[in-house]
Amino acid sequence: MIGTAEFDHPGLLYQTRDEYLRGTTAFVRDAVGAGDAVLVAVPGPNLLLLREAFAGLGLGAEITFADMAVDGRNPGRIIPDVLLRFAARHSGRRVSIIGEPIWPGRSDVEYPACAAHEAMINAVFAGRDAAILCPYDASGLDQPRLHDAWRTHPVMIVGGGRRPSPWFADPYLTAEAFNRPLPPVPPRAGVLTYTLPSELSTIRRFVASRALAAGMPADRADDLVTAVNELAENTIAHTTGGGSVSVWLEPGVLVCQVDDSGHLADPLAGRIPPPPRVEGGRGLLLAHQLCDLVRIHSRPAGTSIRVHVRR
Amino acid sequence: MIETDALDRLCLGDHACVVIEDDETRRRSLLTFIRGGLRDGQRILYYGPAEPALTAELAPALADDRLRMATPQESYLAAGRFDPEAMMRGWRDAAAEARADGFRGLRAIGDMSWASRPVPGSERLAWYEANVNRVFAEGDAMAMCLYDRRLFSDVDLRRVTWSHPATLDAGTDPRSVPLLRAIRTTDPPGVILRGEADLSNRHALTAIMENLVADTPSGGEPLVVDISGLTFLDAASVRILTRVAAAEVTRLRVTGCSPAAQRLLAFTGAPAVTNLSVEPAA
Repeated sequence: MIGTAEFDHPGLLYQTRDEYLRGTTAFVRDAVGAGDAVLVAVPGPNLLLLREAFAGLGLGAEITFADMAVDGRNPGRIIPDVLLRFAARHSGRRVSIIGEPIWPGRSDVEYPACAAHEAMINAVFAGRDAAILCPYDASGLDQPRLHDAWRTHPVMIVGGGRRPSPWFADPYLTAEAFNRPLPPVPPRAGVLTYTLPSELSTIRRFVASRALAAGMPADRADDLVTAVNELAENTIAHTTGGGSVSVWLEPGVLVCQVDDSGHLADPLAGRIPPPPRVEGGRGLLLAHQLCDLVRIHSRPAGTSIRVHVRR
Repeated sequence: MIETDALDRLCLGDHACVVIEDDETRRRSLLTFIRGGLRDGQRILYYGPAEPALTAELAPALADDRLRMATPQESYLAAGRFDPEAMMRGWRDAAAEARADGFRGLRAIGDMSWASRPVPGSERLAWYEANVNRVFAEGDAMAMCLYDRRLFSDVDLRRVTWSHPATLDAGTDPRSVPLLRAIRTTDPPGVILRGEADLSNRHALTAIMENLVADTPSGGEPLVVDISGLTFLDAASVRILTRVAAAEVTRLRVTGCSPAAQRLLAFTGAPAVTNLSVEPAA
């Protein structure tokens, strides 16, 4: 599907439930009429609303639905697991997707990863025969976040009309603007430093014991250990220095942060599955898969990767 | 400082890399490992520089052939160069001879300091260390390789430690020794993996798995990789397992898979490999 096809990535600013329904219905009606494969991935309450509305219009059977608050809880998973997976399943067809990755409940820690995701969609789908409509709740989101929608979407739909965005720019530059410092690691965090491959086993024990002590079920503790191990292996395999792992509790989540001296320049790292026969390059993708949030702050002198797993 | 007591946790089938920092650690590693062999009724082969300081203690074992010592020139470099294939045949023969002589297996010690000097063939050292696992996985022999930190660069050390299933260095938690153990089986044909598979032993696992078909006569039966004793494996290790099946030479059954291992196998595309069956732990 890569070629000269047009990728359409409008943002839909809605103030009311009616405006939400009007904007999404128009998009879906056109898509179904054109024979596109249609996916609707929006957070829980909105999903309920759209499912009923589209069923009432007799469109329900043509549409795949997904709860963005579940499948896209970790925004770094949306491109590989929601968007690309759907496109791959309907290879050869134009795909039309409603994707609502940003809603008022997104925390300040999550948000930069969500906005970077919105920027990178433009790079990943460039030249593909696809449309992704991203609704933004203009009554619930604050001004800076609404302004960011104008930076990450080439076109905005406001009051029913399409307007090209004057603030839309190169997606890589925009994503770099969301490569923001993480809140500091709290002093109460347990910290372990490492330099040698033989220390990976010690890191795994350390993370596992903290996770189990926090009351995390064994299988989720395993997932967290696997994710942190992949990040620490990246330090050892790809940097000249060592790194550190910090672990602490926050309300509802166990947080781990890996700091090292590497530089992760590509904002798409971990968001695109490598081709099946290519070795390596899966560590960060796997961390995205296993964790509820992966935040990355990278600069030439070092990289911090913070993961959240629900307790 | 490494905990040489952890060497007592090694048994037949193991292949451990010991990174020594000083002469005292070297001496303690040697004594612990040799005493363990004498205790366990094994034939001990030591390939390394002469050890006059240990001669008094070791004289009785040398006298009745429980212990044999040879210099690097007489062993690793006997052909005038380092010949990895000849070394692998040599270990296999020595293990068979030890059994024939009534010993409970072979315990090998290699002081690898000779490899820090330019020697023809030494560029194949990492390949050798990875592939010699195929000999130890037969379960008749075990080995300790001594690498002196003062003689090898960090890069060289990394390359050789990754080729060992187990490494004892300044970072090793003694409770994690040996990190990985691989023992090939004939009934069913395949291999049992125990412990933890990660970056620190990736090249060892790769050599064992990539040669599993060649090393395991199966008569067309599927090969069984029993990972019920594997408490951890990383994404790359899972890829190594699936790659063997994807080569489509033989059917591969990965048995004893924990829920975490099953999730990883699914993530790395195992369900798409027709020659591979993933079987959960009982």
